[in-house]
Amino acid sequence: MAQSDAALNAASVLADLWAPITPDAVWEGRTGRGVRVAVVDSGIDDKHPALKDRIKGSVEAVVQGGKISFQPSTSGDAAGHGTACAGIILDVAPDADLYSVKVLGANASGSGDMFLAGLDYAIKQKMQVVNLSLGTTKPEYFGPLHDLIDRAYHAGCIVVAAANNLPQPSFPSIFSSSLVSVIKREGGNPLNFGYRYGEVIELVAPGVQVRTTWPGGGYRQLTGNSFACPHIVGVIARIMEAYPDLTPFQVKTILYAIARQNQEQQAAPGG
Amino acid sequence: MAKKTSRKSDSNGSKKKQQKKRERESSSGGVIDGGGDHSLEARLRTAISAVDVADSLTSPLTNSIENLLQLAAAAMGSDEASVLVRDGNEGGLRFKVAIGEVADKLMGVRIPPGKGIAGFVFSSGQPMAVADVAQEETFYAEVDRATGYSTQTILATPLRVGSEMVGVLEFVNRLGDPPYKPFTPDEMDQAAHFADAIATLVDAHETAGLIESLFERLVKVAGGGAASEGQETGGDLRQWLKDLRSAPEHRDLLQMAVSLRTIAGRGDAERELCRDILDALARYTEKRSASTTSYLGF
Repeated sequence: MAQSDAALNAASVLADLWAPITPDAVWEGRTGRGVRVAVVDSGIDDKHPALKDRIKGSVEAVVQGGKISFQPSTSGDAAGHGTACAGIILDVAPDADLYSVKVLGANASGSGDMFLAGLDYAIKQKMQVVNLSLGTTKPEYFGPLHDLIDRAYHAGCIVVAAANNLPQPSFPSIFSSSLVSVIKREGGNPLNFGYRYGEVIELVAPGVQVRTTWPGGGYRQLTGNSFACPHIVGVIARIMEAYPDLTPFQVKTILYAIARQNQEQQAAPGG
Repeated sequence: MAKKTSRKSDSNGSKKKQQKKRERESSSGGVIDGGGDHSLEARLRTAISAVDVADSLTSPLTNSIENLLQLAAAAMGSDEASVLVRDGNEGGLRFKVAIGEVADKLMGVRIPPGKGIAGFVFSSGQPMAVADVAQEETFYAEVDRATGYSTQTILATPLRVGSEMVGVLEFVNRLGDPPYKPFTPDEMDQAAHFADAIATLVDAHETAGLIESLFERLVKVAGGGAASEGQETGGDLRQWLKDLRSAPEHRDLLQMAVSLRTIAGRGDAERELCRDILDALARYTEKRSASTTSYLGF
């Protein structure tokens, strides 16, 4: 009984602690203006009517003499995924400064090394938020990715990664430190995301039949964790507009507080 | 009379067996000492028997993949299903097994690295479902152009063995008439289970394919009588391995075997050195792997 009282007290203290953090307080009227966001992916079709003149820069990985470097990209997006993520991010944070770092495609073959190089490039370019729908299960990348995510933390760069919903753990989404990891659920409102406290993949966002931009000027309905990830990237861009100097842990605290309120509202009668 | 004929037949059979045995011995002897019978007939016989052995490895696996794909497509309520496997070492894919209306046209179609939905799924390891419910345009343009088929809804999930990507499993459109219902998250999970089973078969098929090409190679070496030129045969094998379009880990293993054979063949001291180094490496990696595994198990 005493234990139960203690648990109740702890819960009320926590409720007080998170109470001042509300969506209104952190992102009311915000659109992600001026927040530097990188999409490390298959490129972005910047000729799409919904994306035209909204992509601030596009680079792609090239290998020269065994070294990976980044050059301005004009090859668009041959896979569609990066374009889809860009559309979702700009839906949530329409004024974010969006950059494309292409590591998959014609020149960028999508090797693990390129994926790491792309993340490294985004950190060096002082991106504030990175959308990472890619992952690897190869143990040899565990250490290097861990180092990169730590470097992102020290550089004030928030990396958001999609979980893979397969039995094998995928890096970096299973890193629980300074990275924000996301899994999909049904539902259309991007601000109505959830938090799975104590789970390896903490955030839950819309990722089922999401309508978004597709290369060639059209739209598609897409399902996958990698489409839940850009929703959270957009939300973070809004928060970072209001508080540009937040650390990754502070951002996670805010996400947790708001998700908690979202879940309480849904659990309430008529919610 | 019948008995006599029978005996004659036995006798003939026995002679044939002995002749085959001699051919086999001369053929394998050719690898070792460069001697033996290299008649056209002997080489042809060896080549045919080698191809038979290889087919007996790959054919049942291809059939199993196809059967499992049929089951998977029926369970998913899908019209077309296909297994794409890696093509080269740069992230490219090619259709390996397909079922449905345009299955024949799909076979052999290649997808360059990172291209299309399959290319992305293979490169990223992320399963995804895409639906063109408004039927705005064909979004799977290159493959659709090759087959004349109209892809409207698709689910693609990675085929993985351990930490290695071996291909992609795809389900396209639904049974019945359009518009097709998009694939659901539950179906995505279901597809991942089928992918686990199919990936193991694909991996086994790839290994069997390797044995097939290794067999053909050995027959070629034996038939060509290049064996006595030890160094050149090693170099030839290296070139073959370099050009091999297959799993990088398999190719690496074979390359290691060739290197080991070359070094160990230089003398007792070199062979012992190889053994000591490999023993030490095995002990070191055993400790290292144990710590990695414990984390991955979490």
